[in-house]
Amino acid sequence: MKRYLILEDGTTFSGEAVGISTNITGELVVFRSFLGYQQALTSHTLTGNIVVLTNPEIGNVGINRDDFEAINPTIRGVVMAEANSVTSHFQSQQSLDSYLKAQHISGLKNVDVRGLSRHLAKYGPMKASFMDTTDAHAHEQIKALVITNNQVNLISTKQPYSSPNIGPNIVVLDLGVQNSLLRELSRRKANVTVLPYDVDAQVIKALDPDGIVISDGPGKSSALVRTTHLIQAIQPDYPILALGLGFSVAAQANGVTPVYDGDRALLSNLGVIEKLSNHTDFVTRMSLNRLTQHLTDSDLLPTHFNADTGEILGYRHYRYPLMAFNFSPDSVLGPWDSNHVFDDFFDLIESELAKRG
Amino acid sequence: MSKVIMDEIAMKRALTRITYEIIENNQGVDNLLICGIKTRGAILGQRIAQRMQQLEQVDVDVTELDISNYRDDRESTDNENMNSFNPSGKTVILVDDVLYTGRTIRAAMDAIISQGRPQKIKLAVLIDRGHRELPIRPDFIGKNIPTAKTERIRVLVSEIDGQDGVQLN
Repeated sequence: MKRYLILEDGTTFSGEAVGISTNITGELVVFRSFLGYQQALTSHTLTGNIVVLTNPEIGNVGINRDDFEAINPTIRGVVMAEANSVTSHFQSQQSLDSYLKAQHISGLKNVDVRGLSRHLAKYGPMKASFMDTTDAHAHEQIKALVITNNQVNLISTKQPYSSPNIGPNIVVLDLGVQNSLLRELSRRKANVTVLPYDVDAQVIKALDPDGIVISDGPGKSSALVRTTHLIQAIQPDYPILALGLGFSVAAQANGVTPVYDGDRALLSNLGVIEKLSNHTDFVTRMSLNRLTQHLTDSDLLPTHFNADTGEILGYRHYRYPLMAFNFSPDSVLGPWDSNHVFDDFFDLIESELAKRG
Repeated sequence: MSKVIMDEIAMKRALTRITYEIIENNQGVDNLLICGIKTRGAILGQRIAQRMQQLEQVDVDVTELDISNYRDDRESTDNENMNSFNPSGKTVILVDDVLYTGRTIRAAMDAIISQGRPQKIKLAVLIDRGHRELPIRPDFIGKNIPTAKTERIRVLVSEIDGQDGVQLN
């Protein structure tokens, strides 16, 4: 069935329905990774977004049981070029189309994703809808729709829960926790408690954790005022690892303002240089928030930089045991170069514990 | 049988973390003097200083320390004093490879203080193996390795041993 992708600025792309055929609206984000469509579709970082996959061949390896980033997907829709109904992979358990139908997600295929991606690169991120028609009424509807500013609130757990193990006690602040993050902590035997993003500092103090991880998540860091104050309250007392959206919120808590930038954000194989050791890792970045200013006159020491643009991708705090990275060291879709970030964090915890005697 | 307890990558990571911790503790690299105890401590001190220079793009004072005249287990030698640096008013980061009884560090502190009056002295070690005989505690530790007294820890550095790593014999 022929359907349309209508952008906020009136531009229209045509395509064919996959998954279910409801009319949906969301902000478009471009996912440029060559691999990992299953992770992109189930990533909490893309909550409420219409995800544009630029890899021209999607669906070839189907959907497997091991690569889910969340139990239920939270994206609004998916836009693809070629979406294959025939899958060929030994792990595949169902086709992409049947998965989208089962999860009630609308998709569009045979869309000129390259043209769409270039359009967004030129004019910036914008809202869009899947529609059956292209009349003026459809266009008015998109303009009128207001998208929530706080996607984290939609997906952050309402109730604390634990993911027990026998190692150090770690609190994870859920701004959009993905399975892969919990998996990396579990691999290192951390005894994890996951808390809502707007929890009281008192709750954390009562748990007396050895360290805190602030997760990646969707949307703008500026929407997370309570989390910003929370970080200010807890950062003197606990070793903290802040990732993705957490990186931006922690920067905000220390007086540095990140910008929200829908373009050129979702990448795999992004080169990151740790300045101090001159060591390069290739990483995946999912968060759309970026630090564009220098950190001089702040309490933050920039440590990691984008190998191409020099943008700050990692910092530490001068006075507190806080390390932050604007990429996903836990990413299931690889590359896994930066996985050592978790080992570094556990070393930091050990060293802080030793200092406290 | 020797067992590898730190490979080249783990050693790099440990030195990197120690460097960050020193910078955080000192709130920058101002007024630092990195002082590595000969032989392997001096090499590790060089590596820490090199990391700081990369990060902050400023020169960091680094020197090596000869403690042979200050040891408590042998007579003072007639060797002339090999140390020539001025620690007065500085924050001295004393660097050694393995911390064991603490006697080496005691001697090193004497050697430093004989050269001037530092503002403070902090201790960074790659390995803390326990069994202290003096009231000395490190400020920056690469790795804690509880050992038996009969065991031997060897820190290897590529400049001397052709490879980096830590072995337990």
